[in-house]
Amino acid sequence: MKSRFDIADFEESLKDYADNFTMVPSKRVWKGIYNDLHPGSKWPSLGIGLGFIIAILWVGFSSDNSPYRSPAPAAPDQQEYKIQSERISAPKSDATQNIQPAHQQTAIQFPPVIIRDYMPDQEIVVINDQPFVKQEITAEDNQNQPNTTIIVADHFEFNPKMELLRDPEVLRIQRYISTTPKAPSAVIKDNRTQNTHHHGNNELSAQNKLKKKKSQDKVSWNFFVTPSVSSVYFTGHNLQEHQNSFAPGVVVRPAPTKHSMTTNARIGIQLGGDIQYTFSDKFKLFSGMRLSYAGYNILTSYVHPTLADLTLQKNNGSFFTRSYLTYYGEGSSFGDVVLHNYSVQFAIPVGMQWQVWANEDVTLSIAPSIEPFVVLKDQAYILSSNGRNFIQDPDLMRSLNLNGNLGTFIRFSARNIDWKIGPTVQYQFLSSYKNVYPVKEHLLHYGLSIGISK
Amino acid sequence: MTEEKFLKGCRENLATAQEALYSRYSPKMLGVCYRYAKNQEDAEDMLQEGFMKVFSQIRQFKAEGSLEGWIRKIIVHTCINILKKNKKFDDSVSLIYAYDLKLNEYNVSSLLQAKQVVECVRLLPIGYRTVLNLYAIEGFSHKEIGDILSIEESTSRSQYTRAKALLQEILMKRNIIQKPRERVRMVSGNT
Repeated sequence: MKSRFDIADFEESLKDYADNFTMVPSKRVWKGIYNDLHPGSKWPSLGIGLGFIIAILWVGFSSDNSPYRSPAPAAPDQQEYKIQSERISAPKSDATQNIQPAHQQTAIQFPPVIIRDYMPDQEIVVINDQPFVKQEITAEDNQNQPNTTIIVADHFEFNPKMELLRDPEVLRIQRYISTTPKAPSAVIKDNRTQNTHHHGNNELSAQNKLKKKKSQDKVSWNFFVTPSVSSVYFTGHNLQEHQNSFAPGVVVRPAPTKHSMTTNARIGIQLGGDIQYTFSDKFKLFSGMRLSYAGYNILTSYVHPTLADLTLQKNNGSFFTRSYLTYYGEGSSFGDVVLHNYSVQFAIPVGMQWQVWANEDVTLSIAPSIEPFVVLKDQAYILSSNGRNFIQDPDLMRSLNLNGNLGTFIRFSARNIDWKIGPTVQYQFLSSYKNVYPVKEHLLHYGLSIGISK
Repeated sequence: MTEEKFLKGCRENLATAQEALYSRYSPKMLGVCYRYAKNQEDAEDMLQEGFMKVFSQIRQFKAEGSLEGWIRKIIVHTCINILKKNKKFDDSVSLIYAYDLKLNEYNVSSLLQAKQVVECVRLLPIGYRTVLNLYAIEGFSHKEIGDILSIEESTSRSQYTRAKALLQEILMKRNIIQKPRERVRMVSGNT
């Protein structure tokens, strides 16, 4: 092989260098060739593999000896109080047809009671679309057993809308008790006994519910979509490297020049959800999540493959150059082409909402926020140092950045939904490019936010 | 193992002879494939398919030329067929693979000289690279290249011219070659 590549004899030198280039292939190449040439040798390994799989399946099936069982229904809560079932008897006859409506009777006010241990053979009646167990307790029973307290199991609910009906002939009092299977146990005893334990639980749970409702009113949700349009402008220097043949590596900086490029806006979109906390009448704090897509187009031409240079600057101030092979820019052109610069971002905003004006129906608010975001996916063509070509280098793009957002909106209710509509402006604080690239990109997004609040 | 023993053993489908032949020629053939492929993995796939054809057609080899040359021819045609299967070659050969390639000083500085040149060749677009490989390295004519790649002979010529110019520019940037010095014309004046 020649010691030096001779440009005068380009083809011969190239052939010489190429023929002397060797690489060691990985072992998988020969394995693949061998298996294709000698397929018979793979059958024993396949057989062993199949046997192994069958063995694993057999072990798995044989060890699974516990049949599936549905969970047993929960046993009714066994309180310390027990009813004496003989006190409650099934009706001897169907006396419902002789019963007068409650509002036409002289109602006997009995303290509310709850019956436990519902017997499946007891009659169910439906009153006001609610199922009730028809129970009969004779007045004599109540008089003879003044201290009897009857407690219902957990799966019954006390229905305060009891209907008391009285049969004047046999003095039977029918109590209708809801069998709706929900609500926690609520043991209420009549005032003939002294046990107040379970009654206190009802009051406590009601207070807890009120507290929970108050705290929930301070917190609200907002979901929105914002179609937007982006605009871009650039600042910074475009440097062109000059290589001096007598002193290779010296970079001469010409006067800063600005190269123009033709761009037009693209439609973007932002989706988001916020949680808002009200800490005063007019101020709310909010945070949430935003997913957005934004970008712009660059109009240029399709050219023959061209080497384009990009002069970059390190943190210590020194310059270095990268060369790229590109098909886009000025020159002998095959036709026009539109390059898409875009970015998909995920942001977590933090901001404040200030209500500036309100009446009964409408409120007007301003909502500034900052949004740190991470770039999920992007594509960016940047201008080469000579301003003639466009190149792409993902290593030069930032993955983290920061937006500032200012939105104004009006809030109103329509059809039981709270709407929030208003314009927003978003500015990207840092350039999309890392500092090593001297040119800075400034992005502005203008949108109209449409959201619903809960 | 001598070449004759390779051939005899391979014709009898002996694994040891096949492995010996593979071990002897695979490094160089992988270098050939690497010039056509996008990456080393693709190059190894081309190598595997190429050697499969070599072993399946070994009986057709008549000892009129070198075994290495015969194997190389099969490997090159295999590479081209794979490229054609994946991407179509037409008059706009240079516009396939429209991606930007990055060269910087970190890429090439630690490589051996031959690999430097091959890596620079691989930086060319696939269309340019294929024509350059076939004409300058494998020795095909532009007419033959046109038949192989199903393109016009004139397209092959123009692609080669551009490929050569681009490769020279890349090699100069990497300081593998230097710019040709301008001839200084000495003029003696008699006054």
